[in-house]
Amino acid sequence: MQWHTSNGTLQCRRVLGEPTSWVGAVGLTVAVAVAYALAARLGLALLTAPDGVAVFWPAAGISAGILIALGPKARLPVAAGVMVATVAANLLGDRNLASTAIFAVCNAAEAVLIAELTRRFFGSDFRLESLRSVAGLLVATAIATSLSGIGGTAGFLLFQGSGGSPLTIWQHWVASDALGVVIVAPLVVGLVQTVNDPPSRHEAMEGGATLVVLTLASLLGLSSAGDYGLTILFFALLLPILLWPAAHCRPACAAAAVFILGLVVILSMTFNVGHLSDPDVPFGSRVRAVQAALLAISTCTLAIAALFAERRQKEAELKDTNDRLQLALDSAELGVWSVDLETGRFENDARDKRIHGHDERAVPQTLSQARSFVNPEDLPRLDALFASSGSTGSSYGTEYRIISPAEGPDAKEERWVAVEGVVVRANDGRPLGLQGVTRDITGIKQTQARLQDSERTFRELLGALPAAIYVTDADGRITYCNQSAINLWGRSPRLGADRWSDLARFYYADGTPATLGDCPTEIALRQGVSVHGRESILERMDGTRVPIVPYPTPLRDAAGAVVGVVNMTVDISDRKQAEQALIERNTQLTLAGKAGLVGTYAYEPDMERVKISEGYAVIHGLPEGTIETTRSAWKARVHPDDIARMEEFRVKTFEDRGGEYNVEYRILRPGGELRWIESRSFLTYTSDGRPHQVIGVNIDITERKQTEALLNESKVRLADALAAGQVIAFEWDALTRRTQRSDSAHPILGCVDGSRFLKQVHADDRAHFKAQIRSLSPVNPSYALSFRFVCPDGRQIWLEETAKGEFDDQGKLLRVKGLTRDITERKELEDHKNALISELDHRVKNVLAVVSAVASRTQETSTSMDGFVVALNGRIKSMANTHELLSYRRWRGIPLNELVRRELAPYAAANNTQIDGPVVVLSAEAGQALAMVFHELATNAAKFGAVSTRTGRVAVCWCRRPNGQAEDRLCIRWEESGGPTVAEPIRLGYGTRVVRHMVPYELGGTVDLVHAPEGVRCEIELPGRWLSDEVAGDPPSSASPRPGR
Amino acid sequence: MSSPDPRGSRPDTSALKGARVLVVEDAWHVAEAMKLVLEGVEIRVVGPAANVADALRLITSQQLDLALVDINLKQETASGIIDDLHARGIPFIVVSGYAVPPVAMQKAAAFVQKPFSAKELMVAISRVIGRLH
Repeated sequence: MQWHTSNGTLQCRRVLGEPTSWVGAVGLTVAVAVAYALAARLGLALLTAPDGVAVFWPAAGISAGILIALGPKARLPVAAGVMVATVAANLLGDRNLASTAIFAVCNAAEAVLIAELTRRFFGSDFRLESLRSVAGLLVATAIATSLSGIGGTAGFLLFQGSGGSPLTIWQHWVASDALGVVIVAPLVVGLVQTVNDPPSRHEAMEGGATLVVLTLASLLGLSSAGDYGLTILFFALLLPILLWPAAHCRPACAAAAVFILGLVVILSMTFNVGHLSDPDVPFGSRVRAVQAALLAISTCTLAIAALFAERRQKEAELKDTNDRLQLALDSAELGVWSVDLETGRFENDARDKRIHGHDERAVPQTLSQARSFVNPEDLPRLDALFASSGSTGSSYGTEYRIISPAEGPDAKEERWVAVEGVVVRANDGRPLGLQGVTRDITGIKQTQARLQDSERTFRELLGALPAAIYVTDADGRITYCNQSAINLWGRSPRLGADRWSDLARFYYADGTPATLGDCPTEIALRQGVSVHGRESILERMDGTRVPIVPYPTPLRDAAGAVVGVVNMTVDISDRKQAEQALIERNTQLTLAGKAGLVGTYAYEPDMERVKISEGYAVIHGLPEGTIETTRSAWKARVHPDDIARMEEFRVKTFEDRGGEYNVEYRILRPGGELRWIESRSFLTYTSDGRPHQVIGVNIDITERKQTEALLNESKVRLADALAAGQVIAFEWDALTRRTQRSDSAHPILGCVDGSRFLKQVHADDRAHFKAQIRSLSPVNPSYALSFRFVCPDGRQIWLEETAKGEFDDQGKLLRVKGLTRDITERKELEDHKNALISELDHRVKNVLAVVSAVASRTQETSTSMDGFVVALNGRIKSMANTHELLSYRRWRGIPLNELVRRELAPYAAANNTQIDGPVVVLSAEAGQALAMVFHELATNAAKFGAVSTRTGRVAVCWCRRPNGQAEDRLCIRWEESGGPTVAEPIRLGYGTRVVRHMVPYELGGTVDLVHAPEGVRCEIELPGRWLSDEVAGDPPSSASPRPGR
Repeated sequence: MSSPDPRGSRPDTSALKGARVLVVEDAWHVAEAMKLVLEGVEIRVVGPAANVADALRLITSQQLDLALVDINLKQETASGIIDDLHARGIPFIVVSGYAVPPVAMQKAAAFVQKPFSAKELMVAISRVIGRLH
């Protein structure tokens, strides 16, 4: 049994052609007319008496059936066909024209009315399989035949002169028409249906066989004349035979069976064959009985057939629904389960088993067994849900995890199941069971997890973006912002509370305050329009301003309403600064160009012409205002030593498809002046790779080159100087606090690393050294000092350091550069010289003090000015002599004999002096004191003593005498003889005091001065410590000490 | 040593009368001159001493109000004398032609640079003695 989805009426149209078309309509009219006419002729063959109404009117069934099968569009052809056929059939009989016309109208109207009523009230889709359609047909037939019966009765009474009562006529009309419709119309409809939907062979054979049996049974039953019992038996037999197709075959088959039965009965009645023609029974009774029986059988059969058909259809639909449910379950991968709460029995389908892993493990039979497959963490929630659903709710839904198998492909994977279901309740509301569908949502869960991951990643990405991003709700309140946004605002917003406009003030790019309504974010929020790329200024609450470009974009819900804004704000401070720098750079470039330091040029590789800038002309010494030159002119200017290198460079760059090449070269200006040029060239190529253009910059670097050359030269000179002059160049960096020294440091300082240098500065000089370095300032940038330095080998050297500090704009010391010179040798010489000078100075001062004292005493003791002058002059001269002698001998002592000889020299004549003694060198101090003593003795001898006469003699002799102790003593003897007789002086003069006290006081010696009459005699003894060892090579006198006289 | 200038303003030396002053001076001429000058204002001169040993002996044995000390004493220096004087709280004036070591200068009450006049010496002595009283 097929489940009809299509409209039978439409299918009929397709088979029979388009009834609206003219040919189709005429054809249909003719066909209907012919069929109707034949049926009418059959009907007119048996008329009731005395009214002359046809006993059977099968024609009504033909017209109604065709109209029902073909639909309203066939109304006109069918009506026309019916009327023509009615007229033709009636006129062939004994009917007159008037009644025939009325009958034709009534018949046509009846058919139309049946079809119309059926369509309008019971649906256009008339199907024999529908009980509703069949019932509708019966009702419509009753109504229509009743109405047409009125018309027909009138026709009979008015024009046919019928003998019957109007009621009888009407009854006959109605019965015959209704019977005709019920017997024939279903057949017509069934035939059309069968044509549209041909039965299977098995069906056709079964239907055909049934109809044959029915036909034979009918013929057999009717033909057994006379036996009333047989007639009853016939009808009794007919029922099961009719029920078979009704129950088992299509309704069309049942309709055919009804039609055959009806046809047999009608033919039997009409042509007086068989039991129905029993003359013993009154014709009227037979007709009524046959009509009633046929009506009842027909309607029953049709109804039963429809019922069975409906049931079969329902079964098919149920099966189909089940199939589709299964299909849906399959395609949705849904599992199904149920629990009987009274017995606790658990049942589920294969997919539910698979979802829960029941295949591998024991299939649960009860709910508690099924629970063991659920993750224990989710069980309490699941149980609570079932409990609450069971007590109050009708449906439930949740998600839970199941315990993964320990092995297999799903091992260790967390599997999720979604369940939705209903509670099955008894009429009194008592829960009977639970039913549910389950779905494996592991994939969805995993996708959700991945989605969350990716959303988190996205947020992190947003957070890490250098641009400030925030999201607002429809009221402009911040709901999300990244760290960059917080940095931009300089504060953290309270999410969900602060409006975007609360966090900062906004200004136009020119600095004027922006109204809120004109801010891009507000525009996006209020008007749902994106205003992108508008430069503005954001002012933080602390007053600092940041140039920004906001990119707000409205967020919309599904309905298109603005629900917020996402705004990306770019801090363009850097860009602004870069722009400013670019402007400055361009200005500088222009200035540089004007100053002739930078020039630009451009040429096409194939072309000779070169376009140049003002600065280029200046650099190359071209006439002012030159804006164009040629490559050959350029080549002529390039220094001959550089031209080949230049060309090679250029060609190679082109070959390599290089974008840029830089080169330094020399040119000779027209005047012969040599200039160094740094050239930077930028090459472009056509799309097919040929060189297109060269644009370049020329920078005059002559001065730099000269400076470099000078620098190199001075570097070389410095190195030479350093190596030759015991000089170390150093540079101390304030940042690294490290010192770099020239190679000469090693031989001078010994092995020294930077950090130990200060520690090796002599302890006494270190503080000063540090203080000098600390005192460096931009005002006092340099220092010079000398200090002692202890080399690693312990040697102490003197270093002199001159250095200069370099400072940045803030006055911070950057580095100290300087020279350290080894001045040890110089320092030693200086020290020696200074010591000498100092000593000399002191000695002179002491001598002056002595002279001063001597002068003072001389004056006091002199009796006359002349005497004073002579005495003082003599004493000073003596001291000067001694000094001269000491100086000559570098203060290394005075030989005694020399000293004596000098003092006696002014008075010495041929043989009046005798000096005798071993070589003795007196220390400077002893020499000076003894010189004074001898001076006074000699002066006195010359004035009053031996030397004052020609005969007088002075003998001076000395010896070194051991005194039994550690040191020798020097004994000197002064002895005058041959002079005038000496008298004891009356008054002790200064000279005598000098002789007597000088040596004992200053040298710790002894003096014995005796004014003996024969001559002055003086014995002097000195401690040996006053004798100097200075005279190398002058061995101490080997002569034995000579005893004094 | 020059004689006191009769026309110059002479320092008031009355406070110096009877003061006991040690003279340490290696040059006999200078020592004699100093002695004469000091005794001229009735200072009682102790010494003079020409060497460290004599000076220390005198410091130990004599009551002293002041000392005049030359630093360079031929082969010796007077640092030992200075330390002893300082330890005993005896004020002293350094009389020297040499630059005086800073350590000695800190302890000295005054310094007289050789060569000096009698007046210079007396001014220095007066100042130190006057400060004491």
